[in-house]
Amino acid sequence: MAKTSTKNQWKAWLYLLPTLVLLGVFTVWPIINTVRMSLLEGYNGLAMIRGETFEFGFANFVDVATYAGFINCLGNTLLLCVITVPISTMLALLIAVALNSIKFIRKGMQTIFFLPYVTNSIAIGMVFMAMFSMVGGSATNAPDSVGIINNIIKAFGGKPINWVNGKISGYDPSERWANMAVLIIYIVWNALPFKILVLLGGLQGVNKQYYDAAKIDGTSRFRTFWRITVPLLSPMIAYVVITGFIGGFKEYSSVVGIFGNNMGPAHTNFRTNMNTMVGYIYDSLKDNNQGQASAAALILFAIIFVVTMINLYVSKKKVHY
Amino acid sequence: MKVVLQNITKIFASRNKKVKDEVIAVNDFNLEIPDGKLVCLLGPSGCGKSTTLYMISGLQEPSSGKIFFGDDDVTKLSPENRGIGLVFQNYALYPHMTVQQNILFPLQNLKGENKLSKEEMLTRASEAAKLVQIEEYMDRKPSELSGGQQQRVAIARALVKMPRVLLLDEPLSNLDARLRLQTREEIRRIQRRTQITTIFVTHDQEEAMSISDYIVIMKLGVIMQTGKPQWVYDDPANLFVAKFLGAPPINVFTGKVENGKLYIGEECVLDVDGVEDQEVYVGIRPEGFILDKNGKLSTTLTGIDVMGRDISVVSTCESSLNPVVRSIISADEMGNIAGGSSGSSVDHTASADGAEQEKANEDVTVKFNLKPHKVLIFNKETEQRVYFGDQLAAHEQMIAEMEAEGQGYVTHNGPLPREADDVDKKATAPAPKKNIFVRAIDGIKGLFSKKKETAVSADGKAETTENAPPAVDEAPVEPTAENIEQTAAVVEAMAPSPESAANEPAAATDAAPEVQSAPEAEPQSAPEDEQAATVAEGEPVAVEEPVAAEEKPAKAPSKKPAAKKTTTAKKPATTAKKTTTTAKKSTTAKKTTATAAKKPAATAKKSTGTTAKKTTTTAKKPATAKKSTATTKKSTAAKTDKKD
Repeated sequence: MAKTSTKNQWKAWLYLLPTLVLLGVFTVWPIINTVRMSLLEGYNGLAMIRGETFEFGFANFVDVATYAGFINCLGNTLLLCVITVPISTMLALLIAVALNSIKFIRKGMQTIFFLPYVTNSIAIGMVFMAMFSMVGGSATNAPDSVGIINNIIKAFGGKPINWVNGKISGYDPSERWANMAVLIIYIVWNALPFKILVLLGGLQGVNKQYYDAAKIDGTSRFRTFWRITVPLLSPMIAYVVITGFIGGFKEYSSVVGIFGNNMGPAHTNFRTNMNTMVGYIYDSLKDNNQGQASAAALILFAIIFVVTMINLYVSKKKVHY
Repeated sequence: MKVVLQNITKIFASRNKKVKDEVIAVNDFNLEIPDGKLVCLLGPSGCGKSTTLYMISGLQEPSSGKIFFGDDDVTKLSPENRGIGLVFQNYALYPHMTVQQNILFPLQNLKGENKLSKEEMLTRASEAAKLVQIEEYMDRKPSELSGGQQQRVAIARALVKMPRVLLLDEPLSNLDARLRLQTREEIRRIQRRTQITTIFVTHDQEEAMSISDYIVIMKLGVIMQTGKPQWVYDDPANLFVAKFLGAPPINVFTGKVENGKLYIGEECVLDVDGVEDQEVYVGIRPEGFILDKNGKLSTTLTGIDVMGRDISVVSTCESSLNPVVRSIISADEMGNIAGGSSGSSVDHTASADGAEQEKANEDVTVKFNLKPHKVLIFNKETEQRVYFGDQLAAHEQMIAEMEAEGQGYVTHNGPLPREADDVDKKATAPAPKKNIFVRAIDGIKGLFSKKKETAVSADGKAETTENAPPAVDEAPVEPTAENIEQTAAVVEAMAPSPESAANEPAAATDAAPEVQSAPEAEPQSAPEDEQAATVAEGEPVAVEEPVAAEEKPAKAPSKKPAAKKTTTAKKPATTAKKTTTTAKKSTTAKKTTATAAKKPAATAKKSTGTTAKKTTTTAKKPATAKKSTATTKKSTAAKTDKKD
């Protein structure tokens, strides 16, 4: 047996070769290279080609961590994750339960809720920008045109809010929350379909007899939801939360879609814009600063890893498989 | 708490919206369940018993009719306000809660003045747990318990809020045979202790008989009979009830009454006073036979099963609807069969020794006398019971007894719902009573369609049923699912190993739903054709015996005399062949055939089954006799019947 297997081993390797080559080139090597680049101080691709050499050290990490722009990005990302993941999960759960309890327009509603999932996120981001926009005007003059949201606010007698377009006169920190709100609404809305899909699938797998039993025991609706539905769905919820956090930390395209290349209203700079971690990495690469980009990527990886571990630890205690 | 069901009807709309058909799951159900009793709803699958239970629980709403708990009309009440406890078939224990949390759950739902303090809840929960003996598992999750323990937790959860009525939906069907026995005793004990009116749904007649105060036998949504188990067994109102109760099942023969005498085949077997001349089905309980060499009913012996306390004589008879006639005789009388030719009721003509044994066992005739009170006669058309002799007096006395106890006697009069309806579920089950709207729609339909006279439409569905009674006068006996079920039950029961003997009831009932559920359309028409053919050939015996009728054309005409000795091994096979339509069913049929065939193969080594003379089943007889009567083996006088 052993003999034949060694004899034919080259065949096995041959069959595995295409996969191994692809994995090696596109996965393993990039990971190794990222680590390498992050550990070469001030690494720069172009300089490397010119023949410069770089010292080994942790300077990239130190630079990244102390850079004001990076701190801003990290703060934005964490804030988005912490706010959007719980909101979208709860909303998705409620919508899934509601969808599950109706028979008659379920199919149509399912389609509607699923639409964001199949639509280009940049395109939707631009639609959001149009909806929330307020073009022209200044602090003193009334704006030339407003988006639909501001129109609605005006119709109810409110003052238009600078959702996505900053004041020309300068940065106003109070508007940061308006910007953030748009981003949150967009991310939650964009994250819903997948979560609804998973939770609805889970709900349909729950034995209806538990609800019959609860009904006979006179359980109130809220208690049925909280004591029966949620625990029975907990594996799905855990899955949705974990993937939600991972997705949240990688948020990038939504910001580009809504705020454009500046990653924030026109008047903001790298300290104050809505940039995220991935956006920072992208910007660093654009500036041919691969060393810092790699370091930031590894930091992001470490954060996601830690958060996922926490998630798993919590779900181990709370989830009933 | 007394439970009263008044004219309950449940109609399910058809799944297919285009077809305006519907299923009547429960049809005009009237029942009064006395306080503190354990009542079983019993019937084959799909007879509406679970639906009835769910309507009592409030999870399903009756289409019409009323439900009373005591004097309260609870028809419109939601389940939680009815004060019921329900144990589901698969228990529905919350998997994420411990046993204690599961039991506490109903208590935590109580609101307002009923609200309990934490201590009270814990006391109540531990009391309930003690009652069902699961105190030591309080901290476990349901998945860490065995089936029987889960079942008890489910009962505890149902009992903890002190329901007025306890409902159990086939609670034992998920348990293995031994645990089932144990648990049903447990349920009986708990019910006796708590005195809660309990309604129990099951398809297992043995289970129902053993634990219930009253049983309600249902078929296709209609009550067939109610009463104490023993009474229903002794005094069934119709053929369905007679066949449904009893293991081994009742032996059914075709026969006729002429001049106050009951005939099975050509033999006059019993005096039946006061019965008009008519064609009848004769049901004889296995214990209703007395071995007697001058007995009036003669059958062909195929085997003797020794079961310790008593023995079971297996024989065949042409008039029998069952493939074999099974009679249970006390073991004391065994000498009568095997010992000495003088006193034997079995007609032996040659000594059974060595190779000659095989020849000797042909045409051994067993003769029986019948115990009159174990003989039940049913009208052939309506399948309703025909009382004779002092049976009627006994019947009336029992009705009086029942009514004295506050349990009204309910039985189904009029034509029985047929298996034909069972086969096509869409057919508007038992015709006579219908929802007024349905009748109105039918009436309107009738105005527009001129095909009203044709009671059966092209696809075999009963249409315009209001004036067309269910087709009772089709083939006298169809090899329907029910017959096959019996075959299965009997053959299963015949299996000689002690193991299978222990599992016998389980096996028999397990086989039953499988067979019954198989959709079936062919056999209704098939036997008719076959019969017509045989009648034309001039075979009078075959008319009453469709199984034989099917077999005969299959054999060459030259073997006609031989064909008379139909064998058990072949009968189910032929029946199966004719009626099998689905793959599932064929496996069941094969199994029965295999069991039947295996036995002779084990006992008699060389049974050349090709010729009709050396029938495989009769070959078994001497071997069994040899084994069972070791002492009298030499003196066994077996004679060959030289009829041929």
